[in-house]
Amino acid sequence: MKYFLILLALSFSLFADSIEWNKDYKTAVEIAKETDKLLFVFITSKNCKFCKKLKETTLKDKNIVKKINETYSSVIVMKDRDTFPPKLNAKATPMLYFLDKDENIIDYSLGYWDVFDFNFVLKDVQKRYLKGMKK
Amino acid sequence: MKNIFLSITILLAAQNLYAYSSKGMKVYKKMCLSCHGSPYRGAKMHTIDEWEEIYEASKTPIKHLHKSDAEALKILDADYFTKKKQSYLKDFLIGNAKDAGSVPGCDGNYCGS
Repeated sequence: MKYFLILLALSFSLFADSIEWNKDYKTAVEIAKETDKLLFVFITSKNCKFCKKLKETTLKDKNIVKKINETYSSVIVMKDRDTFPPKLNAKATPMLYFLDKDENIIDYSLGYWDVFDFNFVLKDVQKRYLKGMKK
Repeated sequence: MKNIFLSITILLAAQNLYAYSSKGMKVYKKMCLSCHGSPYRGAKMHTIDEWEEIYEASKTPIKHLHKSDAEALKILDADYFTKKKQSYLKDFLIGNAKDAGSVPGCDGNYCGS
């Protein structure tokens, strides 16, 4: 039954038209472990207009959504409010962290990127992950 | 008189710094943009330490980085990519590295709180 639900969730995520955000960091880690995915942590803050811009433009792009849902278990956390490991520090937002399923940081990215550049952000993460580079 | 001289010196130095940075960006646009994204994105592929390590590892670091990519090597072998241009590019990449402090797409480098 558990595997059926995971499979169902996976198939939904592949055809979703928006990023499947988990409700909190802990759930995102659990899903990453169960589905053998990486973790995508989007750190936002109150009144962060570039977080909103990133979420409503780049992260709505069909190809980006597909890539993220296929590869990552995602979560949005609010700086100074939500619970997430202190090693994911964010002096400014939007701050994006990409972690492996054991919560080791693969890469991070600060600021807003358009679709063209965000594709390169994802490409760099994959490269670092494959090279086993830990940042 | 002394103050005027000092002001002119500062102004010229600032202009020179700006030109230096924009020259590196121009080289990036010509050589790297199609494969690595916009200039600030490309510079943020690595941290300052990583760029410095890359530059210390070889006398022709950018070519060395692309040694297994024939298409990239063809671009990098162009006459345009002179030693001077390579040095402009180095300054741009290190100056705008992932941890160099410049933040893209934010007003006055301010992204939220």
